[in-house]
Amino acid sequence: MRARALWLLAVLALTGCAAGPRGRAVYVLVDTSGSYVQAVPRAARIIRYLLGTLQPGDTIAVGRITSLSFTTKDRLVAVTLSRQPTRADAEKRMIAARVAAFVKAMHASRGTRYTDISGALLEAGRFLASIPAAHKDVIIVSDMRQDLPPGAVRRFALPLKGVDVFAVNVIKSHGEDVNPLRYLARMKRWQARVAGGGGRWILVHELGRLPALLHHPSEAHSRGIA
Amino acid sequence: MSVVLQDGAADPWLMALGVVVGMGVLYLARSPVRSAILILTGLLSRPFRIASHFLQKSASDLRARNRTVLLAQGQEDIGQRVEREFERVDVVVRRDLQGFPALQRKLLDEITAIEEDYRKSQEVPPAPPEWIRAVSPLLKMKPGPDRIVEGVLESLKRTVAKGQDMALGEYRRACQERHKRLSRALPFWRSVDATLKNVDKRLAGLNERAGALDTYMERYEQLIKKTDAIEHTLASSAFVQFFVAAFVLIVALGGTVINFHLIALPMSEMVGGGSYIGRFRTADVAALVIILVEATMGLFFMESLRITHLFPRIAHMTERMRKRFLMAAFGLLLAMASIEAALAFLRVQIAADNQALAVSLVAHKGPSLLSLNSWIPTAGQMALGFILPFALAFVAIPLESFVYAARTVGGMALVGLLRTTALVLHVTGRLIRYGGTMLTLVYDIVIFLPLVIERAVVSAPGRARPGLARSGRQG
Repeated sequence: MRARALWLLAVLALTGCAAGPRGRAVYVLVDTSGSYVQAVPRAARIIRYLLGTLQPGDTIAVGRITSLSFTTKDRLVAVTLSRQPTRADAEKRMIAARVAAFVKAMHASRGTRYTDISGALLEAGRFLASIPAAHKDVIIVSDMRQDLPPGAVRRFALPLKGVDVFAVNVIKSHGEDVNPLRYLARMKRWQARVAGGGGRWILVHELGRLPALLHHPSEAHSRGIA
Repeated sequence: MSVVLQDGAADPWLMALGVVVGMGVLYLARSPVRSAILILTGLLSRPFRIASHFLQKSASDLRARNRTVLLAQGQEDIGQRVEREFERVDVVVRRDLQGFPALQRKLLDEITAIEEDYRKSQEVPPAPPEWIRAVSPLLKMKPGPDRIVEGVLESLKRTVAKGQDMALGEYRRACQERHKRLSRALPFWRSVDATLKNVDKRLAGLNERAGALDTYMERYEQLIKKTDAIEHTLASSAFVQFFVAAFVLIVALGGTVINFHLIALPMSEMVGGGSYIGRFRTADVAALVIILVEATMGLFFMESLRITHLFPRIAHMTERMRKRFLMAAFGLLLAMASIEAALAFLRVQIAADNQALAVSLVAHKGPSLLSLNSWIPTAGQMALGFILPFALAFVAIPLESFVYAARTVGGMALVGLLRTTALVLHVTGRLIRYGGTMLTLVYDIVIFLPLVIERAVVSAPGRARPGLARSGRQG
């Protein structure tokens, strides 16, 4: 009888170990370049929505896209929520407060001169690779127009294996509404870049669709663009 | 067999020749082929028949075993009922009849008092004095002219009247005394009447118990005789018990689900919300374990109270140990109920906190207090958390009924399954066997021409069948 109980415990432990990582890890990138800084409040709304959906034990990080984004200095928040629901709620409140302060600070800011999206994605990919989670997402709130400062080298494969990259609120420039092919070509280049790094590119046209897409990214990916 | 010419058409002569040759070959091979078919089908059908017999025997054995178990359960049940009835009779005798001598003494005293009063009420009052009768002729005399005689007679009349008045007064006093005695006896009569009615009622209760005991003893005798009727009755009772207990268990399962949802969320506060055991959240598993432990404690509690009899070891405990065990089970149950009440309180707090967070995130404001101070849902959930473990403890009773009834119902179902399978196997074996016979007949149909010729040759004049010839020689 005791041996049988030990076997049962062993099986439980093994199945527990074999289950692999669980939970979610989300990295939100907010473009603070001069051409996009006015959209930061919208990014804050997305972050607040995410905070409402995250479960105890999930991870959330918020980073800025600046002139040179491959740095931890531009990371506003990086928190793995406590497994206790009440503590996790307190941490969510703290993150919401920090994001609110960030939005307030950006209100008076003119934004950065350049836009280093690749560096930000590299930083997000490296961060997510270090987190054991079943679902890893990068939500990038940007116009996806990269403008690197002189000397910056960003020709590398992005470490985004197993990561879903959601591009949200991508604003078209003046020339692109005249010639949509330019916009489509730009999006295709980013898709290829993300796919080359092992990730999945999901372009979210409608912000309202984001909750559904976050829960069923495969559906959006199979259709290419949501 | 078909012979085809070069242009694709079959030559009928060659075909006929082929058919004749084929028939000849089949005729020559008839005996070994028939034997082969019959042996093969016999071999194939035999395992089915053996399996069918085996299952039939197993079903019979199982049925006999079920019958034994059913009767044993019935004996135990009736035994318990008889024991219980005897206990009730004992209680009735102790409660009602232990004061019977005092009651009898009281009755005798009252009857003696009534008899005394009655005797006294029968005493005749004293008769008028004899001299009144002696002087009554004198009083009837007519007074003469003599005034002296007239005066004497008047005086005599007055004296007689006075004596009569005194006698009448005495008689009335005696009557009054008798009436007093009789009216004094009335409460005694009533008391005797009430006492006798009380005795009658108590004896009627005893008679009722005796009637129930007679019924049980009759059933017990039938059980000892192992009649089919009592087996049928017990089986029907088991079926009813099975479905009733199953229904109650389903209801209890609903209560368990409610209980689970009541404590699953707060358990995440204790064991962590993001940890898993296999595919299941640790908090859910912990909540389920708590509920199962509560159910187990409830089971032990009922066992200790001797309401259920699932664990013989608990039933065989000494009285002192049983009481200790009872207190331990109740204590643990109480502790678990208190923990559940606390978890229910925690659940309300967590839910309120989550709601406040959601509102603050949507409204982009600081934490909102909402109406978190509403104590009604909190008290309700706490009460539910405290009561449900005790309610679940009573599940032990239908569980016991279900377990015992399931033994009978399951056994009967298994017997039915075995018999059905045996029947299917038997029919399959028979089909294979008769299929072989059918094949030989089909074979004979194919070679009907040689067989007709054979029959004609055998029955030709001057040729006797070997068997008949032999029998004729023997005759």
